[in-house]
Formats: sequence, C-alpha cells, structure tokens
Amino acid sequence: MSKPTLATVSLGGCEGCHVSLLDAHEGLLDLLEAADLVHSPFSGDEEIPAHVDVVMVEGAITTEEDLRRLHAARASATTLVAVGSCAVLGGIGGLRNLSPVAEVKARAFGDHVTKSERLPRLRRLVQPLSDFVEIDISVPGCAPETGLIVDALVAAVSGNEFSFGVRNLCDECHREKRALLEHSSEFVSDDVLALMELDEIDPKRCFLEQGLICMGPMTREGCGAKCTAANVPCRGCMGPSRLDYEQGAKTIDALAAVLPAGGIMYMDDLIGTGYRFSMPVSVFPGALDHEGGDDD
Amino acid sequence: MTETVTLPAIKRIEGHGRVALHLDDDGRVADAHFDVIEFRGFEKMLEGRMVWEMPLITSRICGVCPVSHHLAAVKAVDALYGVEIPRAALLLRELMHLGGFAQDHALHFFFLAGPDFLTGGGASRDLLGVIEARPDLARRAIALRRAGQNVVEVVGGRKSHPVAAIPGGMSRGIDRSQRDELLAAAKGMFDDARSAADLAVETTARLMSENPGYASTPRYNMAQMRGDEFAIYDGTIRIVSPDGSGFAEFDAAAYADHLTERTLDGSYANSPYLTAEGPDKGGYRVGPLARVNMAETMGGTHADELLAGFRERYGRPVHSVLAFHHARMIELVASVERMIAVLEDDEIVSDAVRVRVDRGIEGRGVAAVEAPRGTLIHDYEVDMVGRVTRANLVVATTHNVGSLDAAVLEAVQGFAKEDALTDESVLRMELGIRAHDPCLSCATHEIGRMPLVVSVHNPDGTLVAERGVS
Repeated sequence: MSKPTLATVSLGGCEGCHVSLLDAHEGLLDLLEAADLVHSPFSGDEEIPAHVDVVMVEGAITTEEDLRRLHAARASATTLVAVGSCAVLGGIGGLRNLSPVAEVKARAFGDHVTKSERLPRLRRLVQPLSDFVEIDISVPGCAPETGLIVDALVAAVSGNEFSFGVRNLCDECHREKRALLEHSSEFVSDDVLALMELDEIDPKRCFLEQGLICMGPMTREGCGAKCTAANVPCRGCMGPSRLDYEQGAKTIDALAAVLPAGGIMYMDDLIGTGYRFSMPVSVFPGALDHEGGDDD
Repeated sequence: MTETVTLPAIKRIEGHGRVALHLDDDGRVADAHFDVIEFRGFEKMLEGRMVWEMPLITSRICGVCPVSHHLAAVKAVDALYGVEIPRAALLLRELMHLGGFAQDHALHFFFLAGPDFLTGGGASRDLLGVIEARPDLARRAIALRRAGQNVVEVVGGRKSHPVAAIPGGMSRGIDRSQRDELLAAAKGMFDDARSAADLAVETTARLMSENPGYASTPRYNMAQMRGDEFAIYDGTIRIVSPDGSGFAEFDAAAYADHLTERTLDGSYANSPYLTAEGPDKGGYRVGPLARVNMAETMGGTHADELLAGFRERYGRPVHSVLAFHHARMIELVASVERMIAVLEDDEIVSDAVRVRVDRGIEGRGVAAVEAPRGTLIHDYEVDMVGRVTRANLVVATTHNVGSLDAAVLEAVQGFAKEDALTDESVLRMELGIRAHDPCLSCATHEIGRMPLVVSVHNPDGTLVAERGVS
C-alpha cells in the first residue's frame, strides 16, 4: 500500500510555523517515513498536485495570490490543516486591518510611489482561511509548539481525530492567584504597568495581581505556558479560549473588575494587545469602514 | 506603456521572489531586478502599539530569524529610555542571538543552498535530496539546528518567537544547571560546525572554479562590528570601500545620515544605497561575506584560522558572491566558539539581569544587530506614554537588493531573450541569489526552495516573455 501524501503551503505569514515543523528535528525524518512529502517550500513541484491526502497551510490571506493558492490547496486536499494563528485567526498581520491599505503602503513606500501592476494586489483586509474554505483541523499558536503541529499532521495522515485543550491558559500556568479570588471592592492593582516598570518581577504570582495585562484568562491553552514560565505575560497567541472570538472585548470584560479600566485604555494598548493575534476574526475590521480603501 | 498581464507564470510558483530582465534596443539583457512580491505592512501596524511590546511583535516579522528582530527591537527601546543593562543580560542576549544565528546558518548551508552543491547528479535539488543522498550531512544539520534552537529556548523562553529580552535586560536569568547543559551542548556543536566549515571550503572552491568570475563586481561592504572584531549583538556600523579602505563608521542611531532607502516600482522591497555615493555608485553588501571581509578577528581560535585560510585563498576584500557560503561557515564556527566563551563566563548565571525602566520620555530609539543575513536596524519614535508614533525597519535582505540585482545581471548580461531563459541561465541566476541567503520573510520571505519566475521586458517596459522554473 502506498504511503499517504503530505503537502505544506505557506501564504501570508513569516514561515515560523514551517520552522517549528523543522524543529521536530529527527522527528521530521519519522514524519517523512510515514508520509510522502510531495509539495512544500522545501521541495516538490511549483504547483500543488491535484490530489494530496493532507495539506498543511500556514499564513493568512493577504493578497489575491494567497487566495488563489488557498483554493488550489483546498481542491487538492482530503484533509486541510490550518497551522498557526495567521491561518486560523488572521494572526498578527491582521493588525494592518486597522488602517486602509493605501496608508499601510504609503508608510512603507511614500505617497507618490505607484506599484507595478505585476505585483500581487493586496486585499483590503487580512483574513483567516476559514473565511473562504472549510478547514478540517485547526492548530493555533504563534508559532504552534512543534509537538502540536506534528501531532496534528500525524493524526491527519493516519485519518484520526485531532483535538487539544479548550480551557484557558491560566489552567496551564503555574502562577498563583490570591487577591484575584478574594471578593473585594478594590482593584488588585491601582496601576496598569509594563513589565519593565516593575521593581521586581515576582516569578510565582499571577501577572494580573502585579498590575500587568496578561492575556491568560482570554487565551486558549495548548502552548505549555512557556511565556509566563519565562517571566513574561501572555500575549494571547493561541487565540480565544472558547468559540467566543472577541478576544479583546473579553479582555475588558475579564480585566475591568481587576485593573482600573481607564488605566488599561490609557497606559496600555488594548487593541494591539487584546486583539494582537485575532483582529481579523473580531467585529472591528468589518465595522471599520476604510473609505476608499478597497484593495490597492 | 507597460502591458497589463495577469501573471500566468507567477501562479505556478510557491515563491515570493522573481526576476525581471530588461532588454535594450538591440534585444539584449541590459538590466535586471530581483523583485519581492509580498508585503505585510509592519511599519504601519506598529503605530499605536506600546514600544515595550516591539520585541514581542516584530519577532513575528520572520520565523527564520525571530531572535534578531526580538533583540534589535529591545535594544532600540533601551536606547530610547537611555538604559544601561547589566552585564549578565548582555551576555544572555548575545548567547540567545548566537543560538539563533548558528541554527540559521546551518539551515541555509545544508538544507537551503546545500541542494545546489552537496548532492550529486540524480538527487532532487531540495531538502529531501539532501536527506536521501547525504543522510550523514542531514544528521549534522539537524544536530546543529537542535542545539542552536535549544539555546534560544532556554535563554529566550521559547524557540519560535522568543520573549525573555525586555527593556532593561532579561525577564529572568539561567541557573548553573542550565548553563552546564548549554555549555556541554555548545561544545558538542563544535565538531559539526568545523566539519561544515571544511565542507564549505571545498564546495565554495568547486563552485568558484566551475563558475569563473561569477558575480563578483566590487561593492561597498557594511557591518556592525565590535572594534575590529566580528560581533552579532553590538558595536558600531562600519562601511568599507570596494577596495577595502575605510569609508564611514557611525553609531546605529545615525543610519539615516548615511543610507537612503529607494523605493522600487516592481518590488515590495526597498533598496537602500549610500547617500554620499548616490544610487548608482552607492551599492553595498551586507551579511557573512561583508563581515568576514571586514573582521580582523572572528573572536575564536579556530575561526581565526579559517579566516586566515579564506584570505590566503581569495584575498581581501572578496567580492565573489559564491564566497558567501565559505564565509557563512566561518561564522558558524565563530558563533560556536563565542557561545562557549560566553557560557564559560560565570557572570552568565548572575541573578542581576535587569534594571527597572520607566516610561515618560518622548523621543526616538534606534539600534542595530547583525542578523544572520546582515545589519538589521530598528527605529522607533514614541510619545510620553510609550506609544509608537512612527517606526522604520531596515532589514538585512533589503540592503542586499542591489547586490542581488547585480548577481542576476552578471549571469545573463548581454544575452538575447531566448538565451536568458534557458534552464542553464536560470540556474546561474539562482546560484547567485541563493548565495546571499535572501530571507524574503524579512524582505519578505521564502525558506527552502526558491523557484524563480523570470520575466523579460522591452525598453518601454512591455512584457515580452516570462517563465517559471522549478
């Protein structure tokens, strides 16, 4: 019996998910034993073959060319695996949805530069794959842990179900909460601080109790809570913890009772932190009308 | 006028780079451009974000060298707030960078460029070809990558998009047992790095003898150096003339006085040049070849022997882009030697890894590191609360856009249209492009295989031919 076939495709993103896959190291050789890699940024023909058992797609839809290649991948795949927060949620590149395309380009190239018609047209909004095609398996994270990607691909090539935790990051995080759990009319901190502004970073205590915005309560588990273990607050790269996609709104909801709301708005960047990886699946991009901002 | 075309060939590739050749009135190739066709718009996205978040956001520009962006950003914030970080934090940041640097160089030599010269005829010209034809080399590459990424993870908190460098230092240090484990691993990398360098000496010489005179137009060289020493974390930016004499030396904060970023119609990458020399004469090169050309010492005994061997063989400065491969592996050995030296410094396990930093300064922070592909500059303007009002990033691959153009042009200059589009011609163009290890994630991206689409244009810009090549 011939081996199942595997392809990987990279759309608008940073290639970090492919690097995370490469970080399987020897495990990559095992994966290549289990499946024939027929097409990827590392190997294979230019165009994805007509039929592939499993296709991993990294990156968001940012250009018309991305969209064309996504449709080709979907048409080819028996099982389509969206890997990384760009593919699943639109990802960090979705922060460009806050501005009209013309302004984004003007910032990089100046106002007077007309780009050649031969360059792929930028779409008005950065969007996740699920806005266009059906996704069989979703693996969020920026980048997802190597093990999570490999498990998803192995499950996909063997025709098994794939799932991972749906609780939030706080369930994985080792940090202790005390003040947060006490009924009180006071905020747990009077200030909203940046990590660099703390006298000491307490390695054991919940970051919210130290007056920092931490996205743990609003973020899905599955990353191993490595950032909070490294003494850095969560920034929400796994996306929302439940089907509720409004990660930023949930930030206000969750934190308004804990930290002074005015401080959150003024001393920090609620949009860029709350929606850092999930802007394209929030209500914001649809609600913002970029006048004259259609494509290029 | 330029015809509107629907990019039939672009649709047949995975890559995000392409080459445009321009013919003169006699129908001969007179000009060439390596064009970048993806754009994410980070500079605009950064406006309105808090500046201390830059190390966590900009690392997402590139999954291949996230450590370089993480560190360039954090250094720029340190500079903005005028912070001196503790020595232990300096060592830890440099160590993290060395880990990322080593894995990146190994990735390129064995798996990305390697298919051009490590496997014989018959093997597929990609990563799978290397794994099948040279499993011994694939294992070495994997071992180097594993060890390098482990350094990034232990010091940086995560291997993909690390988090532990914060303004004022590091979020936490490493303990003695972690140090001992990393030191043993770094020593274990040494043999693999040295054998990679031996292989690079041999393959570079072979490539150069097979392609005599290939892509070797003299250009300026630029790198951030620690005095006369190869350094990837700190130092001052230095530029040397094509003949090797000193041209300029300045702090990263003054980059805008020396470099002008030119925008290009056919590409989403900008192409900087030396302001004083103008766009035609001010082309320069960054990355391993520039650094190795400029360093008096690589900072390690074995790397210095390799440097001496390189000079003896090719002179100084070396302008052949094929020598990038050799230079890159000298740097791999130097990185491992430096990693060992940093880990042997007892300060590395100090608890004093940060100083507190307060917001409240309106101003500008600029800093540079040497990323694997060359000088990486981050520049932020910030209001009193710490919100970014303007950001400018000059990434390594864009510095090399001019050098990439030149390499492509030299491969097919004067060729008629049909001759410029043969398999052989396209392979020659690819060889020069890949030697630079362009990271189109930064400038924008493509790891691995980089299929080229080549288009040919008349003097008036009309497209006359196009082909995609695997």
